Amino acid sequence: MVDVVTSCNRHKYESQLALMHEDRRRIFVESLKWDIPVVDGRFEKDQFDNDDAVYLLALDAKKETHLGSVRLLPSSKPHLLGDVFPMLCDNGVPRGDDIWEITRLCTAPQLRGREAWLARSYLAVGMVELALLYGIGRYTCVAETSWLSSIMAVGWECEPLGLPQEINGESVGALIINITPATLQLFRMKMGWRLPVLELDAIAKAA
Amino acid sequence: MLTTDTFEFIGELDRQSDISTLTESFQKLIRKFGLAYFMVGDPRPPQPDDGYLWATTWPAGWLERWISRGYLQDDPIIKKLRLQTTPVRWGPKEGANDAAGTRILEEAGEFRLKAGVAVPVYNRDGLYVVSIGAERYDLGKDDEICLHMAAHYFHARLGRIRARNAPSARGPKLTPRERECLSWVASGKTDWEISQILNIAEQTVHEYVQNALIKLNATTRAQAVAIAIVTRQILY
Repeated sequence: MVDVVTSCNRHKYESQLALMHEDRRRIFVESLKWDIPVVDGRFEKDQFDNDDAVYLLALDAKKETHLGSVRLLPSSKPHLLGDVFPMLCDNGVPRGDDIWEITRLCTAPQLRGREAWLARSYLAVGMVELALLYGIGRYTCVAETSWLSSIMAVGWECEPLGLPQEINGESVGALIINITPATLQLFRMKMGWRLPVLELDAIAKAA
Repeated sequence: MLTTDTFEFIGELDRQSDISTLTESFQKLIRKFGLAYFMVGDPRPPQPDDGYLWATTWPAGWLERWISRGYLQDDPIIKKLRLQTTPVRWGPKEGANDAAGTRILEEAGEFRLKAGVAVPVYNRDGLYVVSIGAERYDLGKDDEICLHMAAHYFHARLGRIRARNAPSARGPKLTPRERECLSWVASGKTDWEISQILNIAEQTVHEYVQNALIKLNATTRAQAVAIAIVTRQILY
């Protein structure tokens, strides 16, 4: 299942969020060599890990292990595309209550094969479910051009917001992704289950 | 600047749902860049039936020669593609650094493929290439970025259409339960562990895996996993 963590229920997820920040350090800083801050030598955490952020956490049944996570930010507030990479949008940064940004999508580094696939699938379906619950019609994200094909192979309907640019030696571009009820149907069909993945209890308490 | 044409091309992709319309549309786009031919494929050893070639307008004869002479191994562009995630340009100034590779590029030139760019595309199945060529290639930086981006979107669209058209895997088909058990075998789980995950008896798990081995004509579990991955019956 996927837990929704917002500023309202964050106090109950302190340990899981710490595990997420540690895994994010292993993945984004150590493996992918992104030039981003590390707090206390352990946690990858930046200015967007704030009260506006909504996290989806894929956890094990006991809620003790971080299997994967994603950070979602409203485009009406400070966010990565709006504040750090606005030059990737040829016609201005898309903003609105129904547009949110996807950042720091990851699965735990120890996961392999089917387990990694499962965690990624849960998060993908979770993002679509959250979009439909929150009234989010479009997600934006910043992605490396070489990943575009794998992103679109999942079934996301992407459009480029501008020409990719070279940042730290990698070609990087901004995307906008349309979400509709059909997206949810497609994802659930591809991944082979019909039940919601989001912990509705957590959403109720967070709302 | 061909930015507008590129964005138009990408915007139209969703409305095109067969390979020949898509081929035509990408061909039209590359002509605007002054280029003549393209090919989208999988740079792994070609098998007669595995559809490794996704779409192409390559000059007649060249592809056949490339396959029949086994150029895959020495093709200098494919060698470079395996080492980098950024596009590889080739042409009179950017050639091969060995004799076999130089000969392949010279022969391509005889088929009017003298210069171009090969864009590496990665998805879950690994490396693919979108290669675009002509008698000459002299794109500016911005146009080149447009072309790379178009290649990625084109590849992704082709991939979705192929997945839609050919959902059935080749070879003997495993049942969902056999696939599920074999996927866990691929993740390094024992029969006992799988039985705990799926909440079924260990003996039942053993039978599913044995059935999968028989269907795939495999003698070991490792071989069964390998066959199932290659025939796309399980994901890894």
